[in-house]
Amino acid sequence: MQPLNGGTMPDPTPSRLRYRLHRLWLSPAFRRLACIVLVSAVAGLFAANYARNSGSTGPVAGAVSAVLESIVHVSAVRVVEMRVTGVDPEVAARVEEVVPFRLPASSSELDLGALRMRIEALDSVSSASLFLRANGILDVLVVGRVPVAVWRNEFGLNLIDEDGVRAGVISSRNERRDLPLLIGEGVPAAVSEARQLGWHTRRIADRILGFRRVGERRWDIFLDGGQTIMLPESNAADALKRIMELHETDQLLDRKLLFVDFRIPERPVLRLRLGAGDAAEPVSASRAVGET
Amino acid sequence: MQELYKSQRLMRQMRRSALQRGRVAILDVGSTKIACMILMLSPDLKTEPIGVRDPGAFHDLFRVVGVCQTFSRGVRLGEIATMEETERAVRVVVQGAQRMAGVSVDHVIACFSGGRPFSYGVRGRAELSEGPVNESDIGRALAACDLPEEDGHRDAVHAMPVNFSVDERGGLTDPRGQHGRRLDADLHLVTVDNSAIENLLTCIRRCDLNLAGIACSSYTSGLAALVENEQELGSACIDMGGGCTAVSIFLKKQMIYADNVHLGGDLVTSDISKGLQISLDTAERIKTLHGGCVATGVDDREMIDVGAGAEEWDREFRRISRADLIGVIRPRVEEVLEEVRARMDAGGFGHLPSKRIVLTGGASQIPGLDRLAARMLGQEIRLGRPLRIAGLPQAASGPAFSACVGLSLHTAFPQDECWDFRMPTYGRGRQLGRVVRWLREHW
Repeated sequence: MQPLNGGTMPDPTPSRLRYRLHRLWLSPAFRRLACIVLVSAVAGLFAANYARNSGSTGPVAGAVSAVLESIVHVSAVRVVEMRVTGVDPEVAARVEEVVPFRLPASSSELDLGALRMRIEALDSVSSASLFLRANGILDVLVVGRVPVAVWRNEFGLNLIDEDGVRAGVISSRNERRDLPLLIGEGVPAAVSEARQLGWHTRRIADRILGFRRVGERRWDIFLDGGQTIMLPESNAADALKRIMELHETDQLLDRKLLFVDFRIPERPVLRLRLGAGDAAEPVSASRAVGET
Repeated sequence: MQELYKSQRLMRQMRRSALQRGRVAILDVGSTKIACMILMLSPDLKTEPIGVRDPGAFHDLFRVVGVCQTFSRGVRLGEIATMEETERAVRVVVQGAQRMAGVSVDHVIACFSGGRPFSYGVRGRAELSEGPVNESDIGRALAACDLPEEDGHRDAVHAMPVNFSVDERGGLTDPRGQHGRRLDADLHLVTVDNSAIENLLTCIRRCDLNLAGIACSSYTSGLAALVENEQELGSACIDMGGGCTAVSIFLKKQMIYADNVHLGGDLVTSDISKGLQISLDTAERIKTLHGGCVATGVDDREMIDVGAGAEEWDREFRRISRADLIGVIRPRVEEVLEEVRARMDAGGFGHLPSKRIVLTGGASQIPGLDRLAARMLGQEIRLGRPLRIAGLPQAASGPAFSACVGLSLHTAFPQDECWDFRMPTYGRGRQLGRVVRWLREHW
């Protein structure tokens, strides 16, 4: 059977353009060039895609860091020892606990600024200086906080230093009997004042139970036996000095008083214990003594 | 002579530069088919020893990597009739061969049978002063060759020194180093119309290719179809193509005569078409399938269906006997062979020591042709197929590809090495003579 279109075949002749393109493609130089362009384009595409996909940079970065580590660890820039100086061994142990890396480590990995911030974030550390010595020794010079009082707040018993900054925590008052006990709101801002008061009352220190900050403006001093010394907002030290003078001359605080109210220094008030009126002696002739 | 020398030397240099690229295309522009082969040449081809040509060394030195053929369009009687169509056909085959080879080619060596090839034998003589023959003596002898009178429209395609003789001692291939008083050089010259070459050149240039050489298809088919003994002892090669039949005579491994008959297989087809009143396609088909040259008794009973084609639906369904077909084919084949016989006689075939005839080409595949030709041309006849060369596919190893294969052999092992000699600027002592006459005297 012959095809119905009269048996004419399509012309097999390539057009002149196709013929030339075919020849061009077959020439080795052009083909090499085309291959190079194509391969580099594909490789570039893959590299861009790979780089953009941040998740997949992990293995590469890991390998790089492993290589860097191996380079760094065999070299001389190693830190083999850390020496903490300036504080007692207990604080030094705490400082060593907060160091985030394990020794020996490469000095290029150490972020001394961050380490210093971590050390200074400790309660018992006031400031720290870090020095990298020659033979792989990291010197940590710590200035510790000196606790001057015990502050009891709703969270427990805290040690605070002169500036009112927390210098530690104790679980029991008996641990630091030597330090005065402060309670109340706004204690940290008035620690130095409390210390001053404490210095004035140093002779009766064994009788003092604690200092209480009232309304963030004035102090009360609690003594054993339920006595309370109420001090004014200003010139509390002077008022206390007068009270101590009265105590030394007249044994004021040995009497059956409940409150020694010096909130208004010009008009001090003594409140007697109930049923103490008979035994009471006049405190001072020069003072007006109010009765409750 | 100077012009010829320059043109031959130019062609040689062009071919050398093409060979150095390592690949070259072979283009056979025929009347029925155009074929292209791409050759990969090994670097060992650089050395071309003069006069030494060992066919056994062919096999490793080049390789066919791409073959393509197509119907010839626009070529008639071996010459380009329509430039545009021929160019398109060349594009088809070159692209197909390049696709098969996977490489592109820039240089093309073409062979064609048109352009009315004429064959001349010319002789030149140089007096030797003293000492052995050197290259300048050969150059002087070649320069002394007298060229035939031309009207300026013909170019020499082949100019091969076929024989040297020193003091009547003939049959020398390489006379260098011999002592004597006189050196004679016989030159075989084939000229064609230069308009045919120009047309072919234009077609090839329009396909972005360079023409690096040109050959006569009668010569190249003889190179491929004749075995070494036949080339040595004297044989004729008859390449029966579609449009024309090429005749070449070889002796002592040199071609001494080439001619072209404008009769071929296409005439047989048109005879069948006219004589049996059938279309050309059907005629070609039944010629290929059922054709023959010698009728026997059984052919009267063997019936062939004709006229059953789709375009002949209104005709009656006809059957012819094979004897009828042979009766149409045979007179035309006889006519072709008679013409060939006349050309061979003109070329001096009767004086060859061994009168072997080799039939090749597409039209030589008609059954019974060898028996018919044996009666008309001579008893020693055989059907020749081209030499096997490396990489040639089976489809391209039939007798139709003799010219192609021979051209690739010619490309790899050209026979015109003597043109590399220095040519003197003077030329004297002209003497005209035919090579065949010389051979007759000296054999």
